[in-house]
Amino acid sequence: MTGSGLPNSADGSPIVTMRGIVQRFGSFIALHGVDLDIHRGEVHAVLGENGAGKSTLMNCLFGINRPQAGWICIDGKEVAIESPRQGLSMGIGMVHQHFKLVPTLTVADNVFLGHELSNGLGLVNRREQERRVAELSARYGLAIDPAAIVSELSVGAQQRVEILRALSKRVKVLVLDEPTAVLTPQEGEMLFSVLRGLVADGLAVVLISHRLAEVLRFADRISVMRSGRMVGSVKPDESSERQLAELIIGRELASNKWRGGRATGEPMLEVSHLTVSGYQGVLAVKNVSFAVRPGEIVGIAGVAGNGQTELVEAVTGLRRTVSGTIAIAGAPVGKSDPHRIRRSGVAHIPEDRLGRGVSLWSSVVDNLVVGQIDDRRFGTVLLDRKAMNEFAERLVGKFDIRLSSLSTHAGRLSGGNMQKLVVARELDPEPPMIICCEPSRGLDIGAAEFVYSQLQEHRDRGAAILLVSTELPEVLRLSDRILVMHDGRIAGEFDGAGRPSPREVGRVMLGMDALHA
Amino acid sequence: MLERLRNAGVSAWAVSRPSLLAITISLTISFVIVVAVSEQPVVAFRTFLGGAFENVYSFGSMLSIATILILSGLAATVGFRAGAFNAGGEGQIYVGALMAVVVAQAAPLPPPLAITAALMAGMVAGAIWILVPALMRVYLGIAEIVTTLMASYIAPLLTIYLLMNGGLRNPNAGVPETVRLVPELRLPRILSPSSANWGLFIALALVVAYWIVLERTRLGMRMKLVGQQPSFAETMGIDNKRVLLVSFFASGALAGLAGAIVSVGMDHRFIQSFSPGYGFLGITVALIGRLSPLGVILAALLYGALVVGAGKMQTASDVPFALLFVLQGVLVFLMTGNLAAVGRRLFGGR
Ligand SMILES: Nc1ncnc2c1ncn2[C@@H]1O[C@H](COP(=O)(O)OP(=O)(O)OP(=O)(O)O)[C@@H](O)[C@H]1O
Ligand SMILES: [Mg+2]
Repeated sequence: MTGSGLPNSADGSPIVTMRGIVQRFGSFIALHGVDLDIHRGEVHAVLGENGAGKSTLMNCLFGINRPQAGWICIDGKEVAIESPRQGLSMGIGMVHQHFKLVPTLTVADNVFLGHELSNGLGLVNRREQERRVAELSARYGLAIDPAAIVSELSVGAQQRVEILRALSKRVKVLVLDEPTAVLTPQEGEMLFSVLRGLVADGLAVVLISHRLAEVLRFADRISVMRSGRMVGSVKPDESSERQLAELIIGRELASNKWRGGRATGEPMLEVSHLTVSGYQGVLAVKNVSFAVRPGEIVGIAGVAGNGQTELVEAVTGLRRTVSGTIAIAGAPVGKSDPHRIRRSGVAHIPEDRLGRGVSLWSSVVDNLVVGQIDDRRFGTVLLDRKAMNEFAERLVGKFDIRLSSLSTHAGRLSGGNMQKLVVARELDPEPPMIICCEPSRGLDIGAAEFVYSQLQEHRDRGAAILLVSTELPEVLRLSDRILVMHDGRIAGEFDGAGRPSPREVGRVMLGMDALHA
Repeated sequence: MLERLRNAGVSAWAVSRPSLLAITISLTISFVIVVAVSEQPVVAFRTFLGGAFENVYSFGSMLSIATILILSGLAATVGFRAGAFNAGGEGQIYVGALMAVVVAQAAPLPPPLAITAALMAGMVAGAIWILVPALMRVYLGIAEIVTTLMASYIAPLLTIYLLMNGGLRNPNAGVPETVRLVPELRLPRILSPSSANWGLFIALALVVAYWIVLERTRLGMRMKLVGQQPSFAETMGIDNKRVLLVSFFASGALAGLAGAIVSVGMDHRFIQSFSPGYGFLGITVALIGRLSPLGVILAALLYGALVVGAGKMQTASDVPFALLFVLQGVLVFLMTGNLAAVGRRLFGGR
């Protein structure tokens, strides 16, 4: 016992106390004096809109950001955390919203990156590192091959590497920033059972998530942020999804129901007998045929990794096909030519947001304008910066993209706001064909609803929409027709108007029922 | 990696800090060396730094060297921006220099037009010299840093072969070189009798043009996007291959122009192995200038001043010219090291 007035953690008092945290980026204030207590043996959920400051707050705790005001206590002692390395050594482990693994290195190399284990000669001791990773992975039930190369792992496995990395030092607090956004429901369940184990060992877990159901199930304490402030704290057993949603977005959520569209005319996209190879030449898409007509949303459901990514890449011209044909508006597209396909009116909201969706190092303005850069309204020979800025301002307003300034580069946006930027850019030109993958990934519930209603509006004006999502509820909520992909094939087809049950579709997704296509 | 930094909305200070740091450190190291080896360190070091500003002649010499370095620095910069590493500026300079002399002498045109034609010929020659490496990179994915460098070793040999066997050689000169251009076919001099010439204005105008293209045109925007994140550019329907080819050719043409200006503006003839490594220095200048138009000008001026200063120091004191090479080595070492560090910082934390 320290006996001082400062909190200590021996008797249910917090391990981490943050008080009055202020974080500015230039003239923009991301955190206006935020308080947070983290207790041992608890899962503490931090919720809030996109851009509310959740990641920023955690970056302050982890030492990535240096707050301008406020103080942080760990175990009752005031500390200054100046780098992630220091954060880690003080017992804070963090799994970031966007993974920070080096794809070309092995699992073990990544886990020990920055604090390598060395042998007597000062060289990296690979064998010892791999042994330790195997040990950690067994202890925490995070199955992984320590010698595997990270780029060859599934997203779920990559996340396990991130978690092992965070746990490679003795941490007291594990921060997970939207860990389930990219996981399959099964992987999510596994993650939470691991977290339960950690918490039972006395660790504190901070969980950032937009999935209210999982938060209500797993959190012991919930804090809600809005516009850089803590606006509320609730107990999960005294709250409901609806109540939480209102607390987060500050108003009632107008939840929209499924609404059918009217498909008309000739197919906008017609795929027949398409076969595409994926990683290392293994066939990823096998003899797939379907069509999307103007005025309908065709949803492709499936567990991640069943060929959806390769299918979309082939259709958008980003990947070569092995056999079969793709026709857009009746015209066959020959060899992979993303340029031509885009010009023929195909918008693409890609699954890989950081690699393909935004230009991380370009301004928000450039990111928005680039979708229609050839338009003369942005200047004839020289670009008209004023017109570009006005255009960007309009889209930022319409899609409620929260940012510190239009000139900041897109990489600095919060995860959800990056996604809004992509959706805004792709939908604005009113394209006849929209291919959208995981449209709501990382979005808060309000923003997700907005994007859904936008997609419906575009469908109603006559766009043909191909929706590819691993979120079954999303597919069920939007689609006029549902195709289920399993093992590279279309394993089943449902009529959206028939309101198939998640159970029914889910069985096909897992390959348990092979319906006739 | 640097092309990412440039556009990252990072403040001018944050971008230039590594360069300033590298320059300070390398100057400090040179000073320590001077103190260690010299009987009169103060005189030597003062001449090294200030020699270029002693009189009009040395100032003009500095400008004429800087002219060539601006162009070859710009050549490297244009390539880097779109993700093309033109390591062969040296070779493009050689072919550009010879071609300019040949065209100036052969073109049946009035002098101003003949000069223009000569400069353009230099650009075309430079662009042709990068053609094969560019196509190999764009269509076959073969690393251009190797192929451009290889091509740059061929150029001095080829030019000397043409000089000796193509009837171009001036029979009255001791070293292999062409006959001098008649005065009307030379770029006008400034700050006579130094070799500074109107090439400086051409170089400065091109820097401005480069800035306009980069910041105010669709091509420039595409170049940046392709250089920063090819996967994004491709997704947005940008023709990466075409953009990359354009910047390859622009890079080669700028280096070729640098050579043409050596011929038409400085030496007034093509001389065997005339270049003290202008092409390679261009890469250093681009890196120290942080791929910024103004930065390239400043870095070229700095280097020009040090070259002149080193020459003067060698005569005025007991420190040899080679001090410059030490400085250059340290500079390159620090700049490439720093790049990696800064890159890691930017990629690492949000
Ligand atoms: N380095 C930075 N420079 C400028 N602005 C920043 C920076 N980092 C964050 N911001 C801004 O601070 C705000 C809060 O961002 P933060 O990433 O914390 O949001 P978040 O709550 O995690 O949102 P999301 O749910 O979308 O991930 C955003 O408006 C973002 O643009
Ligand atoms: Mg976030």
